[in-house]
Amino acid sequence: MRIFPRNTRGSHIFDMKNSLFGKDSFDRDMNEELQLHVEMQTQAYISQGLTPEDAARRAKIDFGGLENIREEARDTRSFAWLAAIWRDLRIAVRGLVRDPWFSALCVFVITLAIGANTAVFSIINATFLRSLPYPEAERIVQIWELRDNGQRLNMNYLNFQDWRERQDSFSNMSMCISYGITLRDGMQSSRLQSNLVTNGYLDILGVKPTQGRGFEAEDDAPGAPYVCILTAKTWEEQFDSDPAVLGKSVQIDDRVTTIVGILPENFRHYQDVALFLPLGPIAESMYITARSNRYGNNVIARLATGVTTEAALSQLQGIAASLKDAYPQNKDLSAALEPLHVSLGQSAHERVIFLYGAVALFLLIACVNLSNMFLARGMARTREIAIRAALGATRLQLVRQLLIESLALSFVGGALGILLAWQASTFAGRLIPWEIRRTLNDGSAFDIRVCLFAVILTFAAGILFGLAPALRLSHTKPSGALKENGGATGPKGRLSGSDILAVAQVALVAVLLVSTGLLLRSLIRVLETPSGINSDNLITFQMAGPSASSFNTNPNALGRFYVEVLEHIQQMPGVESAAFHSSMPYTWFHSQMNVYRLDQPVPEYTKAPSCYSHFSSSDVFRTMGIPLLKGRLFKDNEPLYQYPEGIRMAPENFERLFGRRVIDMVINKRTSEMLWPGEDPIGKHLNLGPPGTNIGTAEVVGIVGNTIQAGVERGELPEFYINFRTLPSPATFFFAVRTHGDPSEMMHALRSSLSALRPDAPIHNMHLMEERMSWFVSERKFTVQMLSAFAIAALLLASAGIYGVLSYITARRTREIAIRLTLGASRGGVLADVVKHGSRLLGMGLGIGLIVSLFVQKLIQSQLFGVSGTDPATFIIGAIVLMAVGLVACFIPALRASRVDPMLTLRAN
Amino acid sequence: MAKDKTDLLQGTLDMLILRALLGGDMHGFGIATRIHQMSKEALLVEQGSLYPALYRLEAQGWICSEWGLSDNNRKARFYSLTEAGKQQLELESANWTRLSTAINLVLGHSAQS
Repeated sequence: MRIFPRNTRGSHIFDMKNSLFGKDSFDRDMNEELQLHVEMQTQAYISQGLTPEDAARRAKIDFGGLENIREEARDTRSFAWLAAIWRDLRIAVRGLVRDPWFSALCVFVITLAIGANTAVFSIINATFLRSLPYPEAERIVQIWELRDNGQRLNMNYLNFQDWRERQDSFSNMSMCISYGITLRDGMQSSRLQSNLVTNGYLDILGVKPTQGRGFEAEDDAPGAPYVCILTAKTWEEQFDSDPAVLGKSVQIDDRVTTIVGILPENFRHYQDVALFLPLGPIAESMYITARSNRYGNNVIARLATGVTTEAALSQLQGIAASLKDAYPQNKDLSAALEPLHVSLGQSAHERVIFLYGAVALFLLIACVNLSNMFLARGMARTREIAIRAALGATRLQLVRQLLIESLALSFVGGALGILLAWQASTFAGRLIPWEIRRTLNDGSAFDIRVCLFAVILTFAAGILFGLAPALRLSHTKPSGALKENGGATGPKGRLSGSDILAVAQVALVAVLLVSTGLLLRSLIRVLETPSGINSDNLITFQMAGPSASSFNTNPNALGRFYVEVLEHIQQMPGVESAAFHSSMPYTWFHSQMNVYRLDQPVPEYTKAPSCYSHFSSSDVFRTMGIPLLKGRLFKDNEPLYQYPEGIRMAPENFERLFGRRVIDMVINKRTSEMLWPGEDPIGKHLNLGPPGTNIGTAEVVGIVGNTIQAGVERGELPEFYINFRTLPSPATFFFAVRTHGDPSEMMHALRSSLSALRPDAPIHNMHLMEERMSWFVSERKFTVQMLSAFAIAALLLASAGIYGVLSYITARRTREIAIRLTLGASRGGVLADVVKHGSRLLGMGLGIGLIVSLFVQKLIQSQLFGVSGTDPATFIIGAIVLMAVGLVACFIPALRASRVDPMLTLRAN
Repeated sequence: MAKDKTDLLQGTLDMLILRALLGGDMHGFGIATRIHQMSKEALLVEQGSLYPALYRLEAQGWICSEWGLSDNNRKARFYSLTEAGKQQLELESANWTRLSTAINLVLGHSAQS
């Protein structure tokens, strides 16, 4: 066949030419070669007797798509590895489709694991990683006053002004008070949430009104005309987006206020807010112009260019230190500062990190389990792999093939997992703190970063659960595996790879079970802890009566309003008892007041004891179900105290306003223990107000049970009760109504009856007490529910893992078992043998898991309530549950093994 | 169908090509024809597999190619076995013999049970 003398260097020259001139010359050569092939085939057909036309056609058909071949040949050269992976992938898919149950189970497990991890990561992303939707949001910080004991305090207005004046770390610094107001426009009145802000607040957030103007420095001055800026939502809901609203006057509380601006539609404030008002003009009437009051619940600032948070903090600390000497109230005060997005995410920090730990653990368990399943499946395929090895597949090729199988499954599961997480994002979004959730547009918690995370995780998981089996299986020796008959008995006593994986799984599940158990017990403890009140049929709501600021000018109107409305409610049919009450439990509206014993030296200003202060109507104890422990309750017939007219409500006038009266006070058990440990407090006197201020003297007349003010976790705090009639004072009041029958009907009746009585004072925030109480545990409940779901899924996975290992072992040992049975071994003995092996794996895993749990519990300490992290009961119950489920998983393969028919098995072999 | 075969039997096709070239240098069509004849017309090598395999083997250094003239004076690319290719053929043949013996044993065995 050869015509030309062979030129040994020829091929090298061609190779060089090909690489030098690239694809073109390679293609030309290939075209020519393939063309020749077709021609030769045509000749062959002609010599078989076909017509030249038919022959040419047949040859072309035989050849198939020329382009296909060219493509494939090209790939072979330039993308050999890609072609190989593609081929491996096709083989993998074919193999997996042939084994649908196995594949479906794997995909299901991966979907769950990746879905859960992605969902939790989307929470982490939104809470901690994503920046807030404000320009250069990372430069915005939140500021507090810091007590020496580490407690962060609301900011005092005067301190704020001093800080602002003396600092140069911030381009702007602003104090904000969240404050409920009543907006009256003609006949309409609505209750809205406002932010009272000092100058520059909106500039710090970088938002400008789309219509009208922003606030100017003059707007914030005392005595300036009242103005306000609306959010786009308020503009739409309250004013039907009427453009004529700019310059219009509305009534806010008792002040005529001009609307000067409207904020952009896409502005998302982190607090619930309907409108912004300058603080300066109303500061006086808010009682914030004293060093002792701290209403500044939100102070933010924008760092000046080039200033670090550390530098800014140390400057504020310096200023605070210099104020210590000037004012006694400032003796134990310093400053604290944090980037805004950090402080907003704070509340979710531990819970979310912990939940992430749990889902990551779940993913790990899933990977270990899949690893084991792959190993078991691989063992059944030893012969296939051996044949491949014999046909010249290198170890690397085998590993690649097996890894591609695991990756293929992983990516199908991962894709479904991402879908799952996306679907669940609103559900999981409940764990994102409220403030941050407000700044998110719908679904924006689920962004490209989350998807990227999911893809990387999917890849990592595929490698993780595929690598161990792949490495293990690629060791398969053709000779050994092909000779082996399935009857071989493995070495006894040593743990195989799959044994180790099963032990690891059990250990991980033990950790998850114990942690979940601890949190579950904490939840039960929280739910079991008595609230101190009776929440049955108890309706609570607020009414927008005379504002607190009106108390300044007309103190008697406030008292009259509440007494009048209460009397009306008490007359309504179906009402068992009714009261109004400040510092209402489970509402987040609490105020505290300093008190001190008059029979002891006056304490230092910062050391004066403080209690939750309730100003209530006399029926409050019956209505709320708070038991009297000692002494008596308030008198029913107390007259409503009238403030003398024409005296300004200011510290210098307190003596004349409140007089040197002695009024009744009821304290709770906790206060009694705090102020009179071991003594009888009945008949003892207390000063109301901080040292140096006296707004009355109180005589203790009774002791009542403790109530839970702000969630069980905060514990039972010291409280006192003052009969409102003896000392009418501005506070956030709630009405409490206990009904005879169905409270939902009563809620209707209250709404219609009260809005007829006082149309100027809209009802708002109406909820059953039951409902309020459930809000306080909802996050904890939700976390425990999620964790329990993962723990149960992980437990089932691990059981499946043990089941798989034992099934595999018994299947391999069928012949040995058959021989033993023939030789007289009892079926019970065989059963015990298998169970023994399984229990050994379980026991080892459990032991390791419980030891690890002892360390893990330290991490979740802050989430525990009323249960020690090393609670023996939880550890024991966890162990029992794990053992019980695990043993069931052992028994099934053990039973199967003991039912082996020796005759059948041995004949088969 | 044919594709499946080549996927699973990739090693086999490589071995068959090497074996065919043991008889002397040949162009692609010649190799296909030779395998067809050697297998008593039982094996039909698809062109779609043949050329990629040839390029692959060349890339692995088991065969080399040069351009020459065919019987009917056409310019054609001739493939020849290298030293490494001969060794590889020996190795694969030995493996194959071992394997086919083993497979026969297995198949024989499972036919019994």
